[in-house]
Amino acid sequence: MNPALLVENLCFSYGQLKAVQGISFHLNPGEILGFLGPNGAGKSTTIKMLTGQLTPDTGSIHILGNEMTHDDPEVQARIGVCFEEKNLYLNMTGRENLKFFSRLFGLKNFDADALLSRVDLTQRADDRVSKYSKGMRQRLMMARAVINRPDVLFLDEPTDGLDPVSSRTIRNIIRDQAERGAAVLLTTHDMWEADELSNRVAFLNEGKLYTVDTPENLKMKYGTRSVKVQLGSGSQAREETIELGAEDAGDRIRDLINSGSVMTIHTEEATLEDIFIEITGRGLDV
Amino acid sequence: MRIRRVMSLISGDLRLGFRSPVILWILIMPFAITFLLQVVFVALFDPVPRICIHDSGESSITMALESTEGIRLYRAESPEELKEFIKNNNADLGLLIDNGFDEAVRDGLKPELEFYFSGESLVSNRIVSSLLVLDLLREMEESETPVEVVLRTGNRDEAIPVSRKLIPAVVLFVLIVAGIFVPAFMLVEEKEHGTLRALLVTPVRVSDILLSKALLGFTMTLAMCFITLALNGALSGRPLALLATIAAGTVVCNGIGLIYGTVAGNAKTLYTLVKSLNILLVGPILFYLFPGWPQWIARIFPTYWFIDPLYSITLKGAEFSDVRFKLAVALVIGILLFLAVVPLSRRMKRKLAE
Repeated sequence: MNPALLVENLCFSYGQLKAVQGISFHLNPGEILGFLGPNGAGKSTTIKMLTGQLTPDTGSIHILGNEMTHDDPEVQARIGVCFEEKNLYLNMTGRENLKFFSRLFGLKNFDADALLSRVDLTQRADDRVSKYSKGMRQRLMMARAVINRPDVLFLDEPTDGLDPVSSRTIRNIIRDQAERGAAVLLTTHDMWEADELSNRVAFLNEGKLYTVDTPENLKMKYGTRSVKVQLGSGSQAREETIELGAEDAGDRIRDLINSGSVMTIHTEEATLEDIFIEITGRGLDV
Repeated sequence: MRIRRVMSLISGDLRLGFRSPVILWILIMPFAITFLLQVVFVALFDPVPRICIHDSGESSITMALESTEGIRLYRAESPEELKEFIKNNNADLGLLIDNGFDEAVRDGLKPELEFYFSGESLVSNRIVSSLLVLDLLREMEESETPVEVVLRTGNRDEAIPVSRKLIPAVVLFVLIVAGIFVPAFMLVEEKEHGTLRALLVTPVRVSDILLSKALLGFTMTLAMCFITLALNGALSGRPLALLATIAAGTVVCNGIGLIYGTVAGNAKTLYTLVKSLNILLVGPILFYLFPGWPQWIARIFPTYWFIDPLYSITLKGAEFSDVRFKLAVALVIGILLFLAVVPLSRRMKRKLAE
């Protein structure tokens, strides 16, 4: 399978500050790659280079087999971008915003209503965006990003600071896009979201890419395979940790369940944040 | 493809423009300025003498006054109405003409003619009105003036009223506000709201955006200038020469506007730029107001090359052939300004992303 996005040895500096230092990765069609890193890690700078907003100092970007120059209209017609900042036309309605961008993409028979319905904005479609809440604006941003049914979708912190309902709507759209075959690059510092959505995650810190792998592989590699069992309640309560790799692990769990004193059982796998800290030596919220 | 993208951008700008107080102000500006000119310079500095007349018969003076240009004539039904009219300062001069007045004058009976002056009227209007009536009486008497009056103007201009002298300045104002401010403001607004970044990740190129702002600015400015000229009665019967002049001026102003728009990161910086640099653009106007200054200095200003043709066409009746060299210089300046926008737009794009 040819990758939808191929990045090789990408570098960018803001003056003396090296924002991105030689990162390489690829993204396949239908795949969601979570770009994890704290603020200032270089996630947004990378997206700006991939979407033609910044020209890399060195390195190459291939999108859908085409080398991405600083702004290539043919490539840009096949990508979608959802920015971290809410950059909508506030004096236009939601519907007008979508129709305006559909014309820029040269879309014929564009169905704004279907897209507005998908992001739960049907009732407010003809209100000016200036009257929208933060969550509504972000959902409209997401709708705008997928207006052209992009082959590659770049999402920069799409659920940052949103209410749970808006976040869920956006996550559902991301899954839908991947299911129809779009390659999705998702930057976030929310490890739970990355874990839930991503097929693979990439750890970025101080402009360097530390690792790219599936969440499962990372957990297997850096986490511990154990379960924590809570027994009894009140003053009688106690906990027991069972290593799943041990020979008698199955018998021990069965005995505890048969004893009738098991209150809860939790797996003890490492979170992506734990793994990130272990690999980069830095937390995601820094 | 590119034309369609540019047209789509213009349609979006138009939609937003009619919702922007700044653009709405620019649209009503010609009417506001004309109103101001009429009120300030016509009512205060170019007042028309007003004469009210009550004629009991059919005097030839009344008929002559009716066909006289440059005065405003009112008819009163009765002497009382005339006196009330003057008392309220609705006319500068009131005339009561009795039945058989003309015959009495011709018969040399020296009939009485009562002049009523409004105490609030301008002295100049009283003199003009009185002289006019006395001149008509002399005509009626068929006597000639004892001297030959030769009219000469004391300044270099051919007796151009103040309100007309200001028309080039007014058009320049419209050019600066609409020609410079429309593209600059629209570009800066896109930057401030982040929508410029959103446009730049679509198939739209930065040159498409600049072109759409320039085209919209060009069309709006051209329309605003012509409306201003038409409202002030200054189309001068040479619409093609005026069109060429205003078009050249608009190209220069749009070029400056795009430079302002690409350089300024926000509205505050734009206003600072406009306030600090626009004094340089209106510089040539000062040389018309102070003719004693060395006039060649005016040519240093880029705006001189279309302001002077505008002045010559609207006020001195110049033809296109008289001003074509200056317009060609203006067009070259405009093209150079547009070329300067190219590297600035690259810098703008990078700064936007950073």
